[in-house]
Amino acid sequence: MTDFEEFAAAALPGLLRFGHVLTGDPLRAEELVQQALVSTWQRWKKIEHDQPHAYVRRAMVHTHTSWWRRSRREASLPAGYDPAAPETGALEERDRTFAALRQLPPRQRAVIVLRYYEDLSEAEIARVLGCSPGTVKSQASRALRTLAGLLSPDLEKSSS
Amino acid sequence: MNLDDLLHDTLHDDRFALPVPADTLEGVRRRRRNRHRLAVAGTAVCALGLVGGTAVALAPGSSSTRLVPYAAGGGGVPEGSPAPGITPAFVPTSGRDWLLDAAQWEAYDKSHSHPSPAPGQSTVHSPAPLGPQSAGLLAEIQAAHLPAGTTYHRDDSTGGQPGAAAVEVTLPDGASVVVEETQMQEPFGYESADTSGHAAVFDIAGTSSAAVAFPAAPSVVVISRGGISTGWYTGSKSVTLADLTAWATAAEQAAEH
Repeated sequence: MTDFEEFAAAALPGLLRFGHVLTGDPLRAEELVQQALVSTWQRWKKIEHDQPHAYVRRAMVHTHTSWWRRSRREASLPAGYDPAAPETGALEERDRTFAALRQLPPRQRAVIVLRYYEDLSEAEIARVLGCSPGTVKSQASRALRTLAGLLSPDLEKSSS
Repeated sequence: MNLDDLLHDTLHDDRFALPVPADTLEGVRRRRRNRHRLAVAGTAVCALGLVGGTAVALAPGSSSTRLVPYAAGGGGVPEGSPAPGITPAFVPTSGRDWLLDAAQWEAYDKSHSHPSPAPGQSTVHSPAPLGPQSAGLLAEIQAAHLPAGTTYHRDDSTGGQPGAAAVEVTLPDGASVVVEETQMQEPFGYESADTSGHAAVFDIAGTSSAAVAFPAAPSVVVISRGGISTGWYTGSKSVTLADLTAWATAAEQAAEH
């Protein structure tokens, strides 16, 4: 197994999950991961000693943004989501949160996923997305404002 | 619960965890091989220089190799004419003439010269504008009736190759297929490109074109009598060799009619 393949095998579970939260669709997540890994492999010699994790995530975000621009398709809800299922408190709240997330433009969604799923700092998100920390800050701010508006009934209910 | 906690909990929901499919890495290897094949097709195998969306030929009698354009949309090497830059003359009468098995390729390689463009003649300024070549290719692909909801992205001068064109096809399930068109410069030793020994050549009914299908890394390359090569490549598991063959056949039949 090559260095790249060792990296890919170790990173696959995390990348698939990252792809899933980004797209909301397991099949698209795998497609996204494969495309990003091929691109990473082609540049492996240049990036293997310099943040390959950031590179592959950047490739996934860019590819996902590109898909979205072409198709304007909405991401589906996570596997296991059943809109007809009875309300089960926290689960239902998360489903509504994800439904709100998918209404964000893909770059804003990526910022939120990198911040709240990957727990990256603004500077690290900027490196992944190839933009300035200021852009990350403004995208995050806009995204959170939108989400707060969409989820205000949930937030009020939780705090009361 | 505040918004930060809600987002954190949502994105860490266990339902987002996916089992790692056993063949994901193989899928990555397959896609990489396909991309490599595309690159090879653009240089060694299908290396006739193309300029501005029109196929080009080597000017006879030139001391340094120079390229002159064929007529745009003329179908590559004119009927009855030799392919430029090859000695002794190679006059293709059908798509099958361009496809050589290992023994045929070895014999051809020993007895013929290999044309190549002059340095610097195969460069394209980036970004290349969209042109009629990818528009024509897209029309052929759409005639193959891919599933409803399929989206298409055109690209001329693919990978900086003058005159190559590609259409990236995204199927409704997100699977992608890349279709690339180039002008071949010389015959293609298809068994050198597929060491599995299972590559299969077939004629496209109702046309003078032929195709070779590679099952190991699902892909189909159609070659017209004039040497226009149209490769259909995928790394997606949901697309089968039979799908590629059916689409490539229908597109080629539409192109000739």
